Amino acid sequence: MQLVDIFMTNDDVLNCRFEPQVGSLNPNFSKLKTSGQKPELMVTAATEAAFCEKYGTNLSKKHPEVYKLGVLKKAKHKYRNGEFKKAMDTLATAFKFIDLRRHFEPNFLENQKKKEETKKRQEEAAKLKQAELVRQKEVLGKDPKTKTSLKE
Amino acid sequence: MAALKEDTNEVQKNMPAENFENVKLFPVLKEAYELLAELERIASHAKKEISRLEAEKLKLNDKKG
Repeated sequence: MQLVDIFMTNDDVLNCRFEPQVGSLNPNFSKLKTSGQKPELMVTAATEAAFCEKYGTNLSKKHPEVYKLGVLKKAKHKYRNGEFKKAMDTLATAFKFIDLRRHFEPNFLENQKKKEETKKRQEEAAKLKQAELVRQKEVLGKDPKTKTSLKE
Repeated sequence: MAALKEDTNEVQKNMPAENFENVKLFPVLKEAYELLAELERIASHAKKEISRLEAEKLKLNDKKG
């Protein structure tokens, strides 16, 4: 995974010096060590390398909540900048739109049925129009009188 | 542009189903839906506005002609 895929802006890619507060980088490390407490992150990731290992390379499948939250943040950033098409494309890389609509949209099935019906009606109307045009052409081709009268 | 749309459609087709039972993931999905709805609303509004402007342009052209 490249830095461009993780960060939201080019500025972050160039300048971010993020280091997770794990192991000895944790400001409470010495206190916790002396008091004998073991927070979850320190148990599972004692060092930075262990922290990276914990999340793994296949982040999108192992920790979808982390990956999707990152993509959502990226999309929101683009939306705030007025880049709506890019925001939509970014969302499309991590979220299945049809599932989201099915789950959250009220009357999704009814709306879907209505859309299909209108689509069918439009297709039928287009077919009828085309048939009518073909019929008119045939009539004009056969009867030269009508052709001349139409021209006049 | 059309190729880009096809690409996104292909990506959407091959995407695994969303897991709504994951408690940590659910709020993220809800927020994503809200953003998606907002983007779609903007897109439909823009389409309407474009068609309205085109109609006005045609009217003006007719007046000139």
